[in-house]
Amino acid sequence: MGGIECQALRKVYGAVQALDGVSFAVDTGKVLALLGSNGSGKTTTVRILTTLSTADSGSARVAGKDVVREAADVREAIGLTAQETVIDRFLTGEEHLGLIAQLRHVPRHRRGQEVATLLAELDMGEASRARVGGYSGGMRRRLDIAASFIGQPAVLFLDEPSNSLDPHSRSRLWRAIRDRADDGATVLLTTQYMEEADALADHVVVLATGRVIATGTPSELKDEIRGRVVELTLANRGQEEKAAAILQADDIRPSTGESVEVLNFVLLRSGPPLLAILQRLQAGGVNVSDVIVRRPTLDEAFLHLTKKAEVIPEPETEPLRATP
Amino acid sequence: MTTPAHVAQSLADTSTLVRRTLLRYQRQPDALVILLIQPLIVLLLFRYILGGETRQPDYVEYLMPGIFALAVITGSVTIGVGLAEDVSSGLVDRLRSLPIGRSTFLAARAVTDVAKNAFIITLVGALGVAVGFNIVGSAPNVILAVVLLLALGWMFAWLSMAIALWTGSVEATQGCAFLIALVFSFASSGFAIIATMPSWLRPIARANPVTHVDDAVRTLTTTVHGSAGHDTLTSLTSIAAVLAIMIPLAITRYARLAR
Repeated sequence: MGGIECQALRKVYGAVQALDGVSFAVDTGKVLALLGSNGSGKTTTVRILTTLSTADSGSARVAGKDVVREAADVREAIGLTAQETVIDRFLTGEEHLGLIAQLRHVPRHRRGQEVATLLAELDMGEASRARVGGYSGGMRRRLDIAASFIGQPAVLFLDEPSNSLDPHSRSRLWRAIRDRADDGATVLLTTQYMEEADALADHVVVLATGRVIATGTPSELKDEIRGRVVELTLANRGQEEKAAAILQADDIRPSTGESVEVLNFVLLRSGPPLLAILQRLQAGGVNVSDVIVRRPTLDEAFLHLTKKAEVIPEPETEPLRATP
Repeated sequence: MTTPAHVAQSLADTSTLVRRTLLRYQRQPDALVILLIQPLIVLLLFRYILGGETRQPDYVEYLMPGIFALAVITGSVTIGVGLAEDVSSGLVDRLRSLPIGRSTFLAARAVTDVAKNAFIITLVGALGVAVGFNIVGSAPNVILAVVLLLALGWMFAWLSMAIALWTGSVEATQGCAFLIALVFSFASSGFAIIATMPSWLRPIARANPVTHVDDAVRTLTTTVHGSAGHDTLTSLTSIAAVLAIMIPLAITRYARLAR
């Protein structure tokens, strides 16, 4: 098995409980997105799974190997892109990848071809013979990501890989990640971009204050809201406060949308009918020119889930498996 | 279990990392130039100011072993500063996630330090000759003197790496490195005769491994038939004793970084 499995991981740094019983599992060839706000425990989890740190309690297996007792075997099987880009400034891009290939023990006859393929795949061809010191932030990031792909690792850990990437590079990266998963690699991805998780992940685990607060496919998480997002466009400006006051009578707290006259809110299935809301607004003298009802985005689902977790912490201790 | 294949792989990985660092010196030679400035200035100051004061024509013969030791110590303690920078930048984490031995990176740094010190000793020796240092020792004795200096540098390299890994801070390592270079270099027989020092300092200077290296190098390079057997043995013994503590300390700490 080339997947990842962790069971009740706990880690304390001083007075901070970084992980508090984190459990999840992902099967070979699947992409798992680990989501959470800053300080939720994503990077601590990645560090434990990549043998850079050890949990205070709990256990984890990566590519079928225990991350503590068989750490050397785990390192043979993994590729890591850390949150911070780390590259020797005095080497060229080609030399940097060549160095990593040597240290990952890629056979000599395959190194050159593999480096060239990766450079082309991540659109680094032209700059590969220039020293990294002259690269832009995005180019360094792409090179760092390419380094983690060297040797075709069975399990890839990508800690916020899209940082510093422009939309074009991000799209190339997404394709590269998808290709590796299609070839059988397991990918654990942390990201702040919900559209990235939506586009890539087979399974999502949401962390808050070191606990797993939700898990499922992106679609399942969107359904967690148990309702729809309503976007109301008011016919006249200046009526936003009046509209908000009317909506609050139904316990609905709208937020401003793309422009001030657009109000967004989540309408739960258990809430009042939309038609009744619109009638109350009209009766209160607020005219609505447009109504859009849509499924929540992963972004909205994430905000909803993390907000809920601030009120009711829900620790998960049983492994949650990403199913094919 | 460590097998011959593991050892061979570990040596190959060390060699890869050594080549990486040597390439860095080749492409950024200013790092080496900076390391040479301090011993050069001390050489000129002591040779032409204190040397003039003592009115001893052979003061340069006395001084040069101290300058050699200062040069290798200064060069070696900076390795700890570089390591602390690599730890804080995340480079060490990147290497620790690769399938290479836990001690490989540290060993590579220490081996690179030997190559760097060999280069520094050659340049400082040339500068010494330019200001009147006369090497009269036999070729084997001069080679032995160089080996002793390299061993001294190797000891300070591991000492500074252990400090870097235990303090985990660039600033703290820099402060310690400066202090170590200063105290060990000057509280020795490198620049002044120990008998002229205050009584409280003499036992410290006599116990300082740098003193034994200074004395051995002085005998080996400035006398034709001089025997430095005692000082050579004492130097190597004290260096081995420090290494026996510092190498395990550094490797243990490296393996447990940020746990």
